[in-house]
Amino acid sequence: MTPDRRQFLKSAGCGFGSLALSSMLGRAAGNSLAPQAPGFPARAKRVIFLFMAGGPSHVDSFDYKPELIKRDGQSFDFVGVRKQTFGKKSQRKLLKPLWDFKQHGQCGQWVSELFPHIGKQVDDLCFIHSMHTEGVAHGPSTLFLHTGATNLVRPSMGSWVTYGLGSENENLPGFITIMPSASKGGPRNYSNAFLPAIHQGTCIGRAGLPASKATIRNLTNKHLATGDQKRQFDLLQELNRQQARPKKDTNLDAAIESFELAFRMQMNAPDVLELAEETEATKAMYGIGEKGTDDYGRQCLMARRLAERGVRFIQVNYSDESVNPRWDQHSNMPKHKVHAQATDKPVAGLLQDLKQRGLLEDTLVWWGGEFGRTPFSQGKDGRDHNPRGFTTWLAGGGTKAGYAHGATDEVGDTAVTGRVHMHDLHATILHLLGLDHEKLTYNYAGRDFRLTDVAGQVEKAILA
Amino acid sequence: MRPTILTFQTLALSAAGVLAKTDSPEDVEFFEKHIRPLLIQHCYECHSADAKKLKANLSLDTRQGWESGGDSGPAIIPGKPEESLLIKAVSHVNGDLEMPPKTKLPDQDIARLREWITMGAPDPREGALDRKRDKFDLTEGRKFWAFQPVVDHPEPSVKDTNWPADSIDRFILVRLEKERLKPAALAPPATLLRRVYFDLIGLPPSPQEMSEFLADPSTKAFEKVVDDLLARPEFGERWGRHWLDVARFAESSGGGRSMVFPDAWRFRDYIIRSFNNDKPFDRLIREHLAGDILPTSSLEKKNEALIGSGYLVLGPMNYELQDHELLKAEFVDEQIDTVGRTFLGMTLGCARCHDHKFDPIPTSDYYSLAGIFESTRSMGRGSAASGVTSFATTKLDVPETPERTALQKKIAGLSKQIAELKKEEKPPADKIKKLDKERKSLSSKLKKGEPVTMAADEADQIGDAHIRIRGQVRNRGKKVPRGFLTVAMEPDRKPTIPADQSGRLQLANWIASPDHPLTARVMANRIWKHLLGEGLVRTTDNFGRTGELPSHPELLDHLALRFTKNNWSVKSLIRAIVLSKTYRQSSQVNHDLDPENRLLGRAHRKRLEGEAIRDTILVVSQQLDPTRGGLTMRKTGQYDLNYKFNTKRRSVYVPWFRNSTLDLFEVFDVANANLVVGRRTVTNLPTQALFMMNSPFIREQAGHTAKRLLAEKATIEQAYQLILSRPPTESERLSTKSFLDGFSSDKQEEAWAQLCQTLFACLDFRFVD
Repeated sequence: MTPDRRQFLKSAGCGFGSLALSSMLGRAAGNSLAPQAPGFPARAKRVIFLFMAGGPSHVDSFDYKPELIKRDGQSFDFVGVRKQTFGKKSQRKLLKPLWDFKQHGQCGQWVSELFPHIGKQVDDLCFIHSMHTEGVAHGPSTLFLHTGATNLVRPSMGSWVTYGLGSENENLPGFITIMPSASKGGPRNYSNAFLPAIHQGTCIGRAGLPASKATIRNLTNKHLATGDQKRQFDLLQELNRQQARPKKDTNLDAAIESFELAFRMQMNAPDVLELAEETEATKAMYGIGEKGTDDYGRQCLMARRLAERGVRFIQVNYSDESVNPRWDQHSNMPKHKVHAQATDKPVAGLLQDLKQRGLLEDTLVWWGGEFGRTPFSQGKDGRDHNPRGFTTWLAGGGTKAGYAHGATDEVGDTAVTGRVHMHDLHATILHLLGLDHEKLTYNYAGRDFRLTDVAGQVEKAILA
Repeated sequence: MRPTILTFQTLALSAAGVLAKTDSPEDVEFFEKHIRPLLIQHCYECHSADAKKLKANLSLDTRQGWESGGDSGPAIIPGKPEESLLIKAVSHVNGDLEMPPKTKLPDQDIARLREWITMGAPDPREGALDRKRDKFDLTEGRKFWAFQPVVDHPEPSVKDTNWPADSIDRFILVRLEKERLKPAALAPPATLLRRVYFDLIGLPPSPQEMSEFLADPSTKAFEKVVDDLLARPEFGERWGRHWLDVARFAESSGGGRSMVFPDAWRFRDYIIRSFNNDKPFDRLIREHLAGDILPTSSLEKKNEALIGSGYLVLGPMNYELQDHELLKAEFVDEQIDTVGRTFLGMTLGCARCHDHKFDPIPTSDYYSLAGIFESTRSMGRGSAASGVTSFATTKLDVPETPERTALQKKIAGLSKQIAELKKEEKPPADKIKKLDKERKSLSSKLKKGEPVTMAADEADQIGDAHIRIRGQVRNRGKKVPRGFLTVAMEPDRKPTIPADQSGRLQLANWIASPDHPLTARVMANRIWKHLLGEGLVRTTDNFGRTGELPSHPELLDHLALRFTKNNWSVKSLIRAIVLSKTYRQSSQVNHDLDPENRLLGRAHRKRLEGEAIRDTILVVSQQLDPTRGGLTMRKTGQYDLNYKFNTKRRSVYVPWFRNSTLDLFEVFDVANANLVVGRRTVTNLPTQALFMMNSPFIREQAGHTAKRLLAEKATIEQAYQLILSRPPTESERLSTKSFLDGFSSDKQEEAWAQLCQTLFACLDFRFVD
């Protein structure tokens, strides 16, 4: 921190805490990021969501199906979910996993060769092998994953969480999404929809650009040195105060304070995103500096730094902007290897790092895509989307460690036991944060809305 | 597709016949041994008196519970397991209805339930249902203020008879006097001029316009300005944008793959045109809902009406949904909800799954409307191959010109020539190919002049809709005849919709009727909101029970009547309001007795919208591209992602997408094009401050403005006058001067750029007094 900044913080730091903040942001309900007490004891204080866009194949990664290996090449009837085949049965040929599975850790969970690093962390993971969801195409399912609706405009989960819990850091937004895609619903996936705008997700960078360049929009002034800008800022605030004084309008006072907060953010936030002060060992743990893992490694390390500073909901996107998102291997399943390599070490590094800093206790890590992939082949060596059964895993934040919940059928097509619908997962995550998904409502256009619509059950089996 | 709550529509009739039957001891034993434990273990958690929350209104802990059933009807038909919803649910054959939701019962249990129902479902569990059902009472519902006919209230008499300039003022003053309050003084002329410019055209007065106005002593000076502004093309751009918010206009579909609508701009221009021409609002309603089938007198009017029907089809939709039946239902739902909010201020979407919880709108009304929209073609015939349905367009009629006729003749001639050549014994392939190529090029030339527009159309199949129980597309209930909102109709007046028509024309006529209790009130309130800052009903899109009550109900009726009697003229109503004393009051707060200013004893201080901020800056910096209308989107891919916005046109012409927008618009609260927005949210976030302080756009425009001012050898006074429409106060002038003096003489351009940026960012720029 330069002396300039420090000096400025002293002069600008008129010590407005959460009280001033909430008054600044308006008195309407929910229009505040002031920390709120959860509804009941929370197990997790924050969420890091590792979004695997495109639908990683569960049968090639975490859902071990010996029967699928045995019956490789055999044909069976499967019910279609696509527009042309909706509801109709047709013969499909099973395709065995392309990678070998091995048991890991003390718990003996199966993980394929795709994820050697995550494999070493299984004793901290809580697998849900019985996920199912709505939608079949990426757009609807991605929106459903984030907002609980395939088509209607609904607030994103991160928005609901900050609406329910506020933020613990008044200099940073409560909901941050790192390098989101503009595709597959784009901004709607981190939008506040009808919740107060303060709950909108703030983007750091965007998909397709290198993570080393990722930052918050308009956060820095490319034109002026800090001292020069301070001089301009002083003029602005002086004019503002003169203009506001005779009018006695709290809205005007609030606008003046929002400029103060903006300047403070400008002074603070860049430091948070700056990874230089991390040790080489830490960076190596995340795969930073290595070809292939540098981007996602940086994103994961940024997530840890934001988590440490009390950001409530951090989404770390592994996505791009193509028609077929990253994990979307309709053909050429071997390409899964590339995506696994890009994320395996960074994710495992994040888990280890959170653990060694004691953050895993109250940070819920959530890994998953919008759906899984079919056990049968599409074309020669691809797999189609599968919303009927797939795997998601959680870690920390009050989930059972080294545990696996539920199961798909013997080939991994459909969730059959201990089924967990995406609404159920949402309900469970809110529960871990101390929020009752049936009570976390917002009245809009004449009706109380919630993340889980009229559905959702907390999956108690996975709670530690 | 939702996970499965066994949800059953209440039917008044219970299976009365079964009640008399007594069960044999063996039957009862079977029940006690196999069925009761099973129900307790698997069902009671959600379907009994002890349930934390009774799901789907279905109780399974008494016989009467399953007999009368829940939201979807009786759960068991004794003797008929295959027809019993309970068996369907536990068999997990229907994705919408799977019980228990998590795990399927063991086959043995399902077999026992089947056996039990075959036996006639003996059940000794007596006991009445312990719940009250809300009975729908339309007579009671009609008593709510919004459904009452509009009344011509007499002008109230007031004590201060000098104050009112219009009957509007009497309605305002009488309330103030009742609370022993006085209206505020009139706003100073300069303040008033800036206010009325932004309110009517969304731009500030130029310094010259300002000085002319201040120099005009005539009592008609303000009226003259108002009439001038109402006649400017910028009026339609400003007020058209308000309507585009309500019509949730956008040039892409939103949803997952946000498809670009390349022809949607025609609708935008149509709206701007409609407001500029002061098209009667009832005509606009008819064009929006039935423009494709409206009888018209000329080709031009036919096209105009057709473009208007784009309203129905350019809503947000996930065209990717693979379940086509669901996609259709979502489309219909979007239309019903949007039409309800736009014109009636009713949240009809609430009645999709159950009777409206707060307003007297039964589910059957929803599906009466659904029949109308199911009978409407709203989507393109589509390309099934890509798995993505396309959007609906229709060709516009083009006038026959000699040039076109000649082209058509030439094409026909070529076709004939080709046909004849093909008949020859040895068709000359080369020649045919050459002629065909020529024909194709002429055809495409002809086609180029045949524009398409997004428009609705009557569907191939027309008919009534089934009620979808609990809103689930495959859970069909009885059919209901097409119709409108029962509560807003006179009792015993049934809509007549011919069997071969969708009913949109009849719906449009019903909504656009001057006797409709909601339509004129809702629109008059929207106009009031944009001028005064808040609606008389502040929830502009919700006039139902969950909305707010009007602060001045008589005034609202007065405005509504004035509106319809004046041939639904939007401009006339705006003119009347703006010329009232109420509108011309100062925004200065003199007491704290009415902190929310609901009595309108002063003007609301308003904030400039994103568009007005951008447009004003571009005008001041002389960078505005003044071109109006037409296609403004550069050639793009099929989707709107990562569109590079680089136009300097007025904001209303900036391509308007659902999944990507100009930074400035996002930061400064423009309407979400996925929702009907009559009242934008107004926020005060640090992102706005960051944008003003750091964004390249503001910095660039400040630079242009500085150059301009320096070239004009402008003073500090002139800079303030240009940007804030007023001179600086003495202390502002001093602060500004000392700021500028801090720069060396070779840094003057930088100094002035920083000053301009500061003035763009300051409160008096963003707020309108």
